[in-house]
Amino acid sequence: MSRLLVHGFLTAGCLALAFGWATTSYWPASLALLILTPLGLYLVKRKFTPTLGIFLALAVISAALGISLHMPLPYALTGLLCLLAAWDLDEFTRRLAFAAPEDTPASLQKQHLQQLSLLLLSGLGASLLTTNLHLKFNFELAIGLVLLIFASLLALLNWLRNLER
Amino acid sequence: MSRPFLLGLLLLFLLVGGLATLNALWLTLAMPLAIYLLTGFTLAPEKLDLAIERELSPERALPGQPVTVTLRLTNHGASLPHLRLQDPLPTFASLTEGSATRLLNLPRGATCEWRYTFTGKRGFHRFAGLEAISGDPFGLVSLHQLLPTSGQVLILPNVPRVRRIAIRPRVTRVYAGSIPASQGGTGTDFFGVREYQPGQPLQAINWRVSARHPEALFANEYEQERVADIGLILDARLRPNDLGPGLPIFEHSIIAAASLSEAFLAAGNRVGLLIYGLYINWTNPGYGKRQHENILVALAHAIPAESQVFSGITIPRRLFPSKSQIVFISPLLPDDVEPLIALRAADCPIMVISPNPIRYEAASLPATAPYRQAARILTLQRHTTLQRLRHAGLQVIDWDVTRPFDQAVESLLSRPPAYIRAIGAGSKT
Repeated sequence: MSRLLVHGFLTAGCLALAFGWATTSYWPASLALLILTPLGLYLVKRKFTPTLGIFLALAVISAALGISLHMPLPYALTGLLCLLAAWDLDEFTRRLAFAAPEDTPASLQKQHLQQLSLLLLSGLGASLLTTNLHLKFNFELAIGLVLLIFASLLALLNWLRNLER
Repeated sequence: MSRPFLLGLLLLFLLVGGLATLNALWLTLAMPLAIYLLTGFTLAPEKLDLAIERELSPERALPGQPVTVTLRLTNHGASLPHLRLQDPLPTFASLTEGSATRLLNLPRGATCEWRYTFTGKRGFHRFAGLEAISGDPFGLVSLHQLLPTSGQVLILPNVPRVRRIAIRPRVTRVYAGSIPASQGGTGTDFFGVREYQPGQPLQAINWRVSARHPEALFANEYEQERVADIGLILDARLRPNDLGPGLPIFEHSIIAAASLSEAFLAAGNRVGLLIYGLYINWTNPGYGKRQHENILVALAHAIPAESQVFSGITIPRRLFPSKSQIVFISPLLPDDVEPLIALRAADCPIMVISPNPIRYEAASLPATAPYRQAARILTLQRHTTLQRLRHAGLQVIDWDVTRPFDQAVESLLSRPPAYIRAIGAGSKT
């Protein structure tokens, strides 16, 4: 079932982004996404591991650029969430291959889907919250926050690189 | 690129992009990614603290006999909700029951017992350890640990039973056995007549001869039967044994070596084994079941390998007692003729058991005219090689491996060929 869900989420994510781009004046991007969808499905079927990672990166870039070009947020957010789910489930499917019959793969799958859906709903909720929540800072505080975010992100990336080694 | 790094990079892109374009919606898009990443890191275990025990039953098996592996895993650390376990199986084994991998939730202090069964072909495998991977539920953080375990499995080769192998070594040992020693004494086969000695049983008197020579009594003498020293040489060089993937002719050589050692040892002989391949693997000569076990263990470990030093046949003579019987098991290369003839010239009786590689390979090839022609040319070349050995006084058995070893060679081995009988008289103790 996970494999089916991966295909479903990949298709849904790409279609959502394509529809989003179709609402802007940059329709070739929509066409490109529609062309890429079957290619992605084929590569996933062929078990080419980096496919979903590449598609997630494409989805993030496409959604962010689309937002700047007046793509409606629901399309961008749906596309991103669907591809995040597909990316996660693809990895989970690979992990699930380790399960023996006594590990009850069906219950492991159910448990993971519950966790994932809860996480995605939290992400969606947080996204919607940020769109409706408006905080006003003075300039000095805003600069301080930006610097703090930069420093944190650099530290995070450095840590991740070390983790990878 | 690892999963958390990709996610971090995308997050950075959205945050920096959002700040650069002053577009808050970019930050909105970053929220699901940030929550996903942070949840993953929060739920990841800090370290693995697992203890493992392994049991194998049996540790020695025959090809096709099921071997059950029992693993007992105890978690002494924090709960591990997504613990992946993988027990690397030997290449010669195939799983028949259960699974060599697991994906389970292991709470703190819990013990998991896990069992699987495999069967295998000949070989030896030492289980180095169990690979354990744990992490967060989303696969962002992975902790790897190799849990060391003890345990080894030895799958011994098949031993087809050959009842009798007739050999005539030049020298026998002093102990009674089944090899005719060409010396008068106690035995079953008539050897000659000599003057009756006081103390000999009266049944031994040959009355017909004694009647013809009234001046003395004559008694029958029988041929002594003794044990001998036998050296088995298994050719494990890659070049004669490499017929391509899926054509393991070396396995047939192993079967022949196992079967011959069993037959020779059962007859009470002293047998040693030399595996000639990557290096010289020598099993000291010995008697009985213990030696048979030693030889089977050595054969279970044997693999064909290439070595520049041992690319040609150079048999270290000092390993074998002088004039002892040598049995060379090899598919044979034309270059091997000269060294074998030189060994024969040093008064060593040699028997060559050669699994036929041409028939073996031809059976797996399409029966088209070019292949048939090639097989014919190679067969002629092989025939010439074997004939040269026969002319030099070696006993050569060309084994068509499509037939079982015992059936194919029993009739050939049960009595020495006529030319060996003709030249093989005159053993010494």
